[in-house]
Amino acid sequence: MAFVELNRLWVKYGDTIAVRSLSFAIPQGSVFGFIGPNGAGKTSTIKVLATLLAPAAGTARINGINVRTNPSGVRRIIGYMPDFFGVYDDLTVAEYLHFFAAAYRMDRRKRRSVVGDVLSLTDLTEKRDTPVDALSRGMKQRLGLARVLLHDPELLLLDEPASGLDPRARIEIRELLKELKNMGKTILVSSHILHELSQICTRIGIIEQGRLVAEGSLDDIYAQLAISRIIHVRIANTSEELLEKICKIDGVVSVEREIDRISVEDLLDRMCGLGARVQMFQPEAMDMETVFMKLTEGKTA
Amino acid sequence: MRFSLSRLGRFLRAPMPLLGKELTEQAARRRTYVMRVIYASLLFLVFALLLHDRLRIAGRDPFNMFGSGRQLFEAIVYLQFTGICVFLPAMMSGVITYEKERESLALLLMTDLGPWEILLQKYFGRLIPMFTFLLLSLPLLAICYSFGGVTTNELSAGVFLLLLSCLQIGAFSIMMSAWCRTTTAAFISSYIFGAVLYLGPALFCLLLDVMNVHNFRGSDEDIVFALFPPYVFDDTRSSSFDVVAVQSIPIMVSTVVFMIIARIALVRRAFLARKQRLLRIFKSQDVFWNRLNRLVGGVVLVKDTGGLPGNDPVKWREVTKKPLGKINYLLRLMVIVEVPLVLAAIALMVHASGRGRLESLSAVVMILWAMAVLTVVVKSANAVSSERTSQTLEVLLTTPLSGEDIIRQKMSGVWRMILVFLIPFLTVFLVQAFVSRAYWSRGIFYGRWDEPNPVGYVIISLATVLVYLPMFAWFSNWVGMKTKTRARAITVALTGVVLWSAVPVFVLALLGVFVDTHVDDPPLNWLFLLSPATFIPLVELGELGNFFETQAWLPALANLVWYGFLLYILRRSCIVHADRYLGRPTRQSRRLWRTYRRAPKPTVEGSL
Repeated sequence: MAFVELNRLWVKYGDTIAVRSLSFAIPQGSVFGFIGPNGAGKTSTIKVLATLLAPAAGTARINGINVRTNPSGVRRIIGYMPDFFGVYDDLTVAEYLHFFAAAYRMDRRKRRSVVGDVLSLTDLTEKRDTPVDALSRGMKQRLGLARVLLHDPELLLLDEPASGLDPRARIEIRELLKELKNMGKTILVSSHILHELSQICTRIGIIEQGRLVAEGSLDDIYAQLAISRIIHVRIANTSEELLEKICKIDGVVSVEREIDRISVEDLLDRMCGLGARVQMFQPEAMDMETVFMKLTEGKTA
Repeated sequence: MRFSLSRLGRFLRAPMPLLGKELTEQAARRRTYVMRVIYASLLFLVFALLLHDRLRIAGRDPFNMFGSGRQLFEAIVYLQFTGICVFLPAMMSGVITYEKERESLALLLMTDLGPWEILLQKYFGRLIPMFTFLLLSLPLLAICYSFGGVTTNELSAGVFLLLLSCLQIGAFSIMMSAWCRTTTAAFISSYIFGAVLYLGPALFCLLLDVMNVHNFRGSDEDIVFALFPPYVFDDTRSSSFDVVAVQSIPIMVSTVVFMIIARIALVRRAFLARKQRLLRIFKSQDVFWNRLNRLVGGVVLVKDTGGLPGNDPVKWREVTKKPLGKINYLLRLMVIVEVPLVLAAIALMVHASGRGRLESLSAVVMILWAMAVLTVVVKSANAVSSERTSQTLEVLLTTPLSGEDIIRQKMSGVWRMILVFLIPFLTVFLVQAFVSRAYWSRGIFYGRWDEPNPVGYVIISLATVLVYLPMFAWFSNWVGMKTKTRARAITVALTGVVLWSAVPVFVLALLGVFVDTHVDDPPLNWLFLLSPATFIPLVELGELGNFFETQAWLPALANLVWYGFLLYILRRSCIVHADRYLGRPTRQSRRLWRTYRRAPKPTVEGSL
């Protein structure tokens, strides 16, 4: 059974429709990467799941609980980190976490150890007495993650957790997400850093103009999109005659143009059979950006 | 800063992008036209009522109207002065702080525009709309002139002083805007320090007069009110335009001074870091007080619990982390208010005599009321709006805390603040009661009390504080929940309280003219209780029984019931609808869902 289930979800702001009949499901324990251009409807969808926004139509369920009819039940099992969030600048790191531990009605006796644990997990133990407003952006993001982990939620809703961070902080966040994934948390994470999402997500959903344009595992999407693969081949004894012969190999469209659907091994064998002395043979990595750019047109909802 | 005519010429010929932007933006806002229509409606309505009154007095003989233009003219000019004082600071105070808050002032300062250009273009960007407000009265002034009684000299002096008033108040407000970091601070400072500028010297002289330190003579007025354009206008009846122009020199000089200060502050205070000044002041005093405490044996009156939050985290933050919530700091604040109050009361008891003693104490009560209402309104409006502005509310809303919990806990700091104000209120009420009792026992009675009842006075006054302050607090909290930014919340809440206090009195006064009756005739006078600003002065003046022509306890009871009811409604609205006001989806969104359920279901394009 899916842990998160969206069924024909519509979200509207006045006359603007942000999300149009969005449906997808996230199995328990998986990391779902939510990808889309700015204004595609990612944040609106996450806000519906975080009980902050009422859907105009459709249903959203988390662990079988309807977010519309039982928001308080949902709040206990989710941890939400918005894309932009402020912190209470009059509190220290530890006070900030204790504040939210109390807001989640945690047992007072357990709070100290839980706060210690999440500080340790997010590598903020040394900063526990530092005023929150003295933290760097990356540290604040980690503090945000520490906050959402306080009540040990089953689902983490992370809206652009790595936005605006420097490369090191992004790597730290990515490693933290991997750690959470290993802990068995179900995570819905939206991001523009597609390359990073591809490293941690088990499933991805690509949204544009409020509609889901692709959904599934990364391999499924690669396979279903049927994107041509570019293979860089360096041949020592190149000649026009050889190129013409390579062009005649089954599956090779052109030595200069994109070719599609050919076994890499076959290509190498056939070229060797033709007498080519191959010095380098490397398929170009097909990354998430390619998929993203192919699927989206940069339009907003 | 060399000045030459050629430079001035270049300045005037230069393009004015900022002025153009300001005027275009305002022209695109619906609010500009709404305000103009409201202003014009009020102005024309008042004029129509005054004209109606004049026609009634004149009777059937139209010749009786001759010469009556003067009163109408003066009324219009004074109304315009009031309009300038009320509207212009609100329009002007955010003009620079808005750029600071959006961090766009730095970009402006990096352009070829000089500080003076920025300042003047911003200044005239707001003055021009105010001038259009003044233009609205031109047809009315023409009517006044046609009735006779107004000389050309008075007409030109009136228009001249109105323009000067705009320039002066505008310069003062833009100075505050350049000085302050936030729009809220600039808005509040413009009104408070503006009131101090205009009324401060007069109040100071009044105090000296009451205490018999210095007898306030008519010749002193010219100095005390030198910066106050309506006072100068009052002299135009007996003065030529030249004299008025000379009398206006202090106003002109003050305008230039304000602009120079604004120019300096524009650059020097362009990048102000956020400082919790009040908290820093209190923290800096902690060392001193702790040392002092050690000297007296380390007595701890109130233990600062601090520590970590218990089961009410929002309340914990409000009462331990905010300077105006922490009990130790609030006690100090109470001392700061209480000590001068007691000293002023003692000074008045010693120096003032007769009726002046009671009236001075009443003035102290009024000042205390103004301080209490301002503080409570700002703190309550800030409670939720500050969370929204600092983007911390969303996170709080995803916790299991209910909206009611959040609001109740948020308001705990406000209740402490009200308790702190109760003590100075009680002090001044008791002093007032004691003084009135003393006069009554000596057989000296100044007409303040129908039946001297000091205990009744203290009970009624204290009950009024206990009802009014929470009512204003809930009202401001309601406004704070419904507005997006802190600046807007405070502005709207303060404006709301002012309008709530003033509009019923204003409308009833007009109604009194319109229905051809005296405004203080029963039963019309009971409607004055619709304004919370009516009851307190009546109690202080001891006119409660006279005004309502009944036993004093009856209007007191009616007032408490009426405002108690409003308090209940406001509190209930804030608590019951807390989730919705805070931004959580509620059952009401189901109506929207029903509409969409009927909508055709589209196919998912590009789905794999």
